Amino acid sequence: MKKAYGNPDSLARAEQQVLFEPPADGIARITLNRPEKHNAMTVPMRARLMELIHRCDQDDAVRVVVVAGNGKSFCSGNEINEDWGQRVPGQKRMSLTMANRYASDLNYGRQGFSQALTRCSKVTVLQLHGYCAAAAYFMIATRCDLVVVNPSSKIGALEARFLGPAGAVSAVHINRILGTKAARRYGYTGTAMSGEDALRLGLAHSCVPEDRMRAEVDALASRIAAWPLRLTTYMKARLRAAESLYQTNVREVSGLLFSHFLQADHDEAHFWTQVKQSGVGGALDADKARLAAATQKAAEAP
Amino acid sequence: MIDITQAGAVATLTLGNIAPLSRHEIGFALQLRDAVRDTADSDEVKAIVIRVAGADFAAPPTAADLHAATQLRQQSRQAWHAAYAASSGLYQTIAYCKKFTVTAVQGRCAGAGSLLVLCSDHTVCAQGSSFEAPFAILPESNLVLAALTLRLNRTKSWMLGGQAWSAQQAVHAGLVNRVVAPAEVDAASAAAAHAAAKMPLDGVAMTKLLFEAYLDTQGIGQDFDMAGFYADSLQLALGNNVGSAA
Repeated sequence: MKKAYGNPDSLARAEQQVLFEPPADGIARITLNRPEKHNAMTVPMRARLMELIHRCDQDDAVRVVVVAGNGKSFCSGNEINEDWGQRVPGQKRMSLTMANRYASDLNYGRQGFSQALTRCSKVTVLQLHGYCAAAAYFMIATRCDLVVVNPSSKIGALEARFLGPAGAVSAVHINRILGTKAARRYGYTGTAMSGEDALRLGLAHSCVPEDRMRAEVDALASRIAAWPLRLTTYMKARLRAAESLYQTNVREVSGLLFSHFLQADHDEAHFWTQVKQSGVGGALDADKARLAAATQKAAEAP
Repeated sequence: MIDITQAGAVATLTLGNIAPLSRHEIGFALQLRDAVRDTADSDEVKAIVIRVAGADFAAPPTAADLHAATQLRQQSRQAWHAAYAASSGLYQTIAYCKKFTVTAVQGRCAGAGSLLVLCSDHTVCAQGSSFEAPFAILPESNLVLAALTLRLNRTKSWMLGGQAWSAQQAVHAGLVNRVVAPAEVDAASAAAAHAAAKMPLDGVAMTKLLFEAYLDTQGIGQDFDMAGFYADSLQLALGNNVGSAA
């Protein structure tokens, strides 16, 4: 039996933090539901997400899987302040074996939820609002087949501003989706692309006002759900083959792994403190305010 | 069925109708393949324009067309593969053509027409043209070439979005190079071909050789090699209801 990683609290909450609506008219919905943390994903949340994707994969009643998030943001990335059993007591960092398990089996390796999305035999549609940062960008937004955004969506490797390694730059699929120049620009600067940017660069299928997103996603999903199941399966099999040939379905974001071995400096410590309180999205907002105050102070200095 | 003219170093292939390609009429595919290959083999030619005489470059195949295509594939599997998907088949002959290729699109472009556009080096289309994804109906469609041309997610949008792209969407996505008024498509296509033909003959040939190597590293040839498997899968998926994908 596969070991369940997490702590008692995160394990107990996972089912409520990743909601599942069984298929209706061929469309199943997975909704991240941890709005107080901008839907930052704990390890048990990721495990549940993967289990739900596999369930949809096996269910002939499902044609389309819609992924969305409750609250202000779709998702700020992985929960990074979680004790999920990665460290032996007294050890400063997790072992390489555990880091590899974290990377390969829980995140972006062949056993992780990211590739479970890409390899899913059903069409995946993402409804993306607010922040979509870090792991949510690497492993969900750039892995779903069709992405619907709104103009004020904020998407990208926003954590690169604090962590250092710009993992997005090394990700084959992100380079193939955005183009190499854009992948580098957003990766190295850690800035957010807006919904319009995402549409222009080819990441998003459509960009509509926030109050029309649900209708847009439902219409798109309904159209695809009307196809014969075997046609959907054929199309997805073609995409899987193409992504293998095109090398987009490979392990990526080695930077994320490296980041687990970095020592935080003062600024980063401040960032992580904020992350603990309000998730990556909230921390980015707080950081903006902090930078603005520092800039003003410098300008006022004699 | 295929009229070939030449002006300077630019040859123009005018087809009466592309529909037989979507019906998998092997004789027509071989005729077009030979025309492209033989024209490209001439030292007098540096660029080739492919155009259609009718109002549509390639109207969407009907359910009857697709049914006929399925039957032809079943009856003549090896011949179909050789004519369409093999390295000496039609689409690879264009994608790996020794000379610069231009497709000139008027009206609707679907099925085999969209594959010709993907395989060519340069595409000019008319305002009001539309482009349909061919992946659900033609197993020889090359998704890797599409992803390389359009980028990955745009290919998914085109494939799964279920709607034809307008000329403006096609140019934005990188499928089309230039959109002009309908009356200017032939002149603009010829101009693009003549611009490439200013390069010395050896330059054209060497550039194409270098580009072929790039295509090979990206998995284009491998995806064509898999076309037989894709055909089996499509047959399993749709059986005799192939028209439902049209």
